[in-house]
Amino acid sequence: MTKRSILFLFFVTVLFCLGLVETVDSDLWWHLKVGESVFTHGIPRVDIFSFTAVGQRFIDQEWLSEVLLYLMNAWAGMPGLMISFAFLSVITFGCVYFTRAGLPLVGIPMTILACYSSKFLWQARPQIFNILMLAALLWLLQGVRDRKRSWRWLYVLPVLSLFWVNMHSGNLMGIVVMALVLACDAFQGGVLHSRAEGILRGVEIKHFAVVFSLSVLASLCNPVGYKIFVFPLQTLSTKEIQSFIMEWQSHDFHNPFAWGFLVMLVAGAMSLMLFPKRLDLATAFLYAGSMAGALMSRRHSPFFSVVATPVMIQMISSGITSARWRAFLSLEFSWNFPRGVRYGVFSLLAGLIFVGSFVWSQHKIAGYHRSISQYFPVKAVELLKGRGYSPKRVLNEYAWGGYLIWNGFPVFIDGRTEVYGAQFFKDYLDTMGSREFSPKVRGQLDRWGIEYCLLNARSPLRNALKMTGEWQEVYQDGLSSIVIRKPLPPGSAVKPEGK
Amino acid sequence: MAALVYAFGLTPTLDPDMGWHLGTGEWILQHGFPRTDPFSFTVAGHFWTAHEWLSEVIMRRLYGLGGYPAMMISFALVGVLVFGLVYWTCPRRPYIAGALAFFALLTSRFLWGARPQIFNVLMMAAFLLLIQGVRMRRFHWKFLYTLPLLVMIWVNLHSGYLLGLVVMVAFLTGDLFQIFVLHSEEGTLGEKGLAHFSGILILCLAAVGMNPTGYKILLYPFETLSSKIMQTTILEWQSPIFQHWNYWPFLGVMSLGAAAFLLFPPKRNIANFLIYAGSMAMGLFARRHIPFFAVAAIPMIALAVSEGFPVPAWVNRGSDVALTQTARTFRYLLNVFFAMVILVGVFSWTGYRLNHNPSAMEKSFPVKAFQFIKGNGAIARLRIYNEYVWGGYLIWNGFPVFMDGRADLYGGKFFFDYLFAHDLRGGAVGITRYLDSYGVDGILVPPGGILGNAFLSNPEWRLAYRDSTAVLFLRKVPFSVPPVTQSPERFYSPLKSNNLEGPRRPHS
Repeated sequence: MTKRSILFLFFVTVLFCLGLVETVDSDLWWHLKVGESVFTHGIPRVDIFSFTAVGQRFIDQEWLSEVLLYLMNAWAGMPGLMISFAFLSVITFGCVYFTRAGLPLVGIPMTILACYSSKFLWQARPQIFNILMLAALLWLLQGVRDRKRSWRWLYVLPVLSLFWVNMHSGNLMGIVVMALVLACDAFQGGVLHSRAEGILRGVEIKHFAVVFSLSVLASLCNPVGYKIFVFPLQTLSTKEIQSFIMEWQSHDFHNPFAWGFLVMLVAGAMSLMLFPKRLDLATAFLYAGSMAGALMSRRHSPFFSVVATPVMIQMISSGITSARWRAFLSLEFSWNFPRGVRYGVFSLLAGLIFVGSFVWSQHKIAGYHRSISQYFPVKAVELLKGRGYSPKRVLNEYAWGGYLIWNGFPVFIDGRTEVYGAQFFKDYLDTMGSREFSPKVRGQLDRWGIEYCLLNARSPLRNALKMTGEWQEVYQDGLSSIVIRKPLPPGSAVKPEGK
Repeated sequence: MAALVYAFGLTPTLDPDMGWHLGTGEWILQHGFPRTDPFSFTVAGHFWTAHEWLSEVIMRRLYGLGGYPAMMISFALVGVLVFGLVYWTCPRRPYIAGALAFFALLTSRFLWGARPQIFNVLMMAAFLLLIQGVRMRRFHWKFLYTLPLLVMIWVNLHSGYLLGLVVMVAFLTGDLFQIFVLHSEEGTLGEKGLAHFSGILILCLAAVGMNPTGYKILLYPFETLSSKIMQTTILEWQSPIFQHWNYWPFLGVMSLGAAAFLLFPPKRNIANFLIYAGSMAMGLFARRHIPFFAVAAIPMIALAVSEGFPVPAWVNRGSDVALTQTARTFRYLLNVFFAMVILVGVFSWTGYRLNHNPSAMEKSFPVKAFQFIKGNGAIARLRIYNEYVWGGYLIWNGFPVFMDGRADLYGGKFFFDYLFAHDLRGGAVGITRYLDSYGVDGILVPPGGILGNAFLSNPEWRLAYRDSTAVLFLRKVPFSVPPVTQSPERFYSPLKSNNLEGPRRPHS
């Protein structure tokens, strides 16, 4: 046992613990349900989960991720999901650490920072596969560009694309990254005749062109064919999605969640300005582009971490020229302790790391029930199910649609915004944000034949409905509120309670 | 370039705070420096720090010279000065520096207008020119002794003077580390310069006290920065939303900076990093700080880019080529022609912008509604609840306000209550109680807003005036004066005889 192995054990454990988070992603539930549907009936082509868009086209661009999520949940439940995504965190940021050469004591803290800055988005969700795939792509590609591995490894990329495209439509990002590297390296090597290190040249660039074409072809091997390339562009160009869904918005740097990303930006500036080193054109474009993407949408900030962290590690590592510092940061120094003491200390540290990670895992896993109750209307849904309300038409909170789907309720709306369309989403937001029972709100409720509303207790619409004589609140528990249309349906068993 | 910068800087006078700045300037010219609030009826007499008094006097004087047009033109010229200083700070003039200085203007443009904050940007640009000029050995270190004088002016223009001190501390710390730890004097003030700079920093601190509130001004910026309600609810204190095109130039400068530093690595300079990263973080925290990043970062990016691109031969070829007399005459005439075209363009654009300013103001401020209030003596004596962003306009027109942009004066609790009531978070009952507690008899808000819609159906209030910008609701039975019995025919006045029962106090 050496100090290097202890350090890496600590590194892996930190990545695991940072990735082990409560599963409170609002979309998880409908992903599980879709996964179940795919597993039992095949890939759905139309919506089967809502009563407002039922029968409308549904592009299930994440079917493979959903099947994996469903199988993991069926096999090991929520704890299994949490632990598997914690391992994905280790793999993803392991790829980030090994993408470019660097000193271990520079690379490890920087990678942990990258993982921490992405933590706010880390959940059991298909989007994580995008981050993993991008990290794997860059690790493979940069290894070939840095001559650490043979160009033959490039031929793994089409296989990667084949998996990626069926896991998430974010595969387009991989295609864009490959196209950018191909164009920049061809320009830099072929036109500028640059002698820069870390770019593909000669036979490598020719093979990469072939690999790129194969990857594009592999990306077509999915249930919707070429339309998979259009899907992300539709999402990116839908104003309502970009404006109203939190994770598509820019970071609010007053919020501590964004500070990890801010530290990454400052660390980036530090690497570039204090440890200057000329890098290639593709790296410059990837760095600047991923930074711009992350600033536009907080959802993209893990991509910046994945792209920029190896660059920072390389720059800082190569900028440290002092032999003494290099020896220290690469762990090439000796401790003058007797061998037995050293082993004893290392064994103790290893034991502490194992115990620490075990306790942390237990704590997180034990807390997931509480987290779910904090974010989702667990009690209200149990009540509604018990009283036979699940087939009735509900106006639900956007973030609770998935949970209702998982519990067998046909929903008004859920996280599959693209199924519902921009106008529907806008009307929905207008209705939910209304502080008064206007004719427009009434029109919306009547049009869809809404029988009851499952609202957040702080929803403005809740107050607006309560003030009218036509609706009555029958349940509230601090998180959620059930408001039903008066008169109470004949034979209704739902009685006012919980007030 | 100057014409282009001027054209972009010539913006309508729509800053919601401009009115109270003018009002304060007027007050200072007539009564001296105010110590308490003279403008509102809600916090009248409360302690108030008019930390921008010199800017306000300047703005009032400009207004006196030529009204809003004079202010528009003056602040556009300040823009030319600011980005001229940025251009001058950049190496590799004119092409790279010119293009990047223009980029800096685009980054800052969304915030440009007749407002004291612009003097902060100007002062920051002047500070950076002086300090970077000395660090790049373009100026003698003796020029640094102008900094205390600048601080003395700055502290009276705006409490943002603190930024100047922070910048100085960053340069001092960075250069000390670079010289004594990294043993590199290149691109720093040098040992001798640093010794003087330390003394100058102390002089600057002493100069801070030369303002009407003395050293209390040192604490003032922290009150604003630590006010959670101001930071979260006032738009320009919030983080930029990069989906809006206003902030794309900021995004562009950050991306350009990253790409430039990767492709053309700059020489290691600790102070430059501190200024670059610090101003970037400030811009990301609050959009009102974005211009500081533009002013600070652009010269550094220009330095990196200029070191990456050698000067192409054609740039200097013009001066080497011997021209015939005819060619020289032609070139001279061509230049005169271009200068004339630019001048005509500037005059036409100025005329166009000045002509459109009144209509732009009418759309942003309750101009006609206020004329209506002024024309009705009884209404003009009422206490009117106003929209936050219209407070300044009302103050400038001599009307006591419920609230205006001086959020620091009103305090976090008042501001929170104002917003709570404004968004009807307490429901109809909440807003009624809130207005009653201040004895408010009228509300002046935009039509179609939450309050505008809610009061249409409120039986205790009547719609007295409406246009496309503002609606005025009056209490049918006011607190303070008898209800208005007559109003001009052109205004909607649903006052009916059953309301003429005389004044009453709702809680009596």
